[in-house]
Amino acid sequence: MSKPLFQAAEVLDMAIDIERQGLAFYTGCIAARASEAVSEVFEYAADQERRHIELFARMKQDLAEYTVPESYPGETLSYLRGFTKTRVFSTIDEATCSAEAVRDELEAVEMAIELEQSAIAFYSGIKQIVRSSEQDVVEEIIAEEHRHIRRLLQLKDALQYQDD
Amino acid sequence: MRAADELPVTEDITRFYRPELARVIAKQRLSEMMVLLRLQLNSAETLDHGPGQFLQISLPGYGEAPISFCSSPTRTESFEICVAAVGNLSQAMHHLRPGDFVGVRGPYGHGFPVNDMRGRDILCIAGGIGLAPLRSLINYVADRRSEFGRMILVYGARKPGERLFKDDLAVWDARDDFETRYTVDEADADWTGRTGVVTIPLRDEVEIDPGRTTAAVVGPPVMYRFVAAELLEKGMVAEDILFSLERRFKCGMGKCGHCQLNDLYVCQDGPVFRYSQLLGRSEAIEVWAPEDERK
Repeated sequence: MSKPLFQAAEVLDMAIDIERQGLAFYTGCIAARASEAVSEVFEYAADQERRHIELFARMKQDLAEYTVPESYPGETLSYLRGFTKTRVFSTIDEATCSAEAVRDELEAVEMAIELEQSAIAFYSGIKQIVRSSEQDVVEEIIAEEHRHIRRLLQLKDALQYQDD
Repeated sequence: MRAADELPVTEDITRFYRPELARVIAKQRLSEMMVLLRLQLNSAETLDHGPGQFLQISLPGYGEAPISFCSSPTRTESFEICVAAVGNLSQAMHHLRPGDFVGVRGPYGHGFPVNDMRGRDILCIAGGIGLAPLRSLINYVADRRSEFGRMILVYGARKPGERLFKDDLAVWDARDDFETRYTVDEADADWTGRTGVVTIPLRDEVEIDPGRTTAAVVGPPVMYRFVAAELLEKGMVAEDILFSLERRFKCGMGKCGHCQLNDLYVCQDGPVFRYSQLLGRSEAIEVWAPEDERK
């Protein structure tokens, strides 16, 4: 019996899922008539998520040959699930529903920060399994996610200041 | 011609190949796949191994295989190995009984650098049968407890029935000076503990002082990269993360090339490596993609 193998491309599918969930959340919040200030930041973040989806899809094509031996089928996916346990959403539908259900803009921004933080944690992990040439791309994506967080934190401060 | 007694004294290299007889003094089934064998050299000498080293075990008619010690060198009256029934030799070893003999040679390889680990907090992370070689280190720390800082063990098995050394796990769990986190990937109806891979309790429940912690990691190949990511996230540096890579052992002497990782032989240069040693080596699939062009 041959040993089970994990196809590393699957991890990039998970990264694409995370980006799609982010995109669904940002576009959902904008559709729910967010203020101009919030819409501006969320549109910027949504554009970046679209670009990240393309980058991960391109990376996946190059990874097709890479496999990892497993001690039982699904072992690597179990570790990946463990890695993404802190993910804010588990499906795109859940992200869309959450966007529709947020009570106010402050809650939406806080949820967006959580979303970006969990994406950074995941991408830090996948940096370990892509080729060194692709690590720069992942690093760039992580840096962009950090920039999103900075903008979101500024927005959160502005919203809190407004409330005060 | 010079007389024989004038010839330069050369090392007797046959000793590297000549097995010594060892007697099975106890056998314990640990799981469906694993048995623990307690052995004693027929000569009553000790092998003087270090935690993380391995030895070659042979059975006439079946062959020879490298297996890690799972007992601490501090317990000198005998030594123990844990055997997984995966091939002809190991299946034959499952049928051994107390009083039977096997051939042993060793110890081989570089184990855990216990001298460098003294005074530091020890974080052991074991996945599946990786607990077997780590048990040697854990009991070494237990027996020399005052020489080390905190002792933290995170252990994950695939299923509750596949957990090894249940008696030891209970003893370590009961100790005030051990911090333990046990988990299984897939729970059954009777399991009441944690569920999920070993990196989950490592991330969520283990707080460390990264500057004074040394991590010792043994498990399946896929586990290493995820554990490494969690440990780096906690602030550890690659130099303080020790990985034991036991895959592909064969001759144990750097001759057959089965275990070669770029310029390293796992059986001779390892099996224990610092993570920092592996980072630039493209064949270390535990940490990098094999097609990585980095040298």
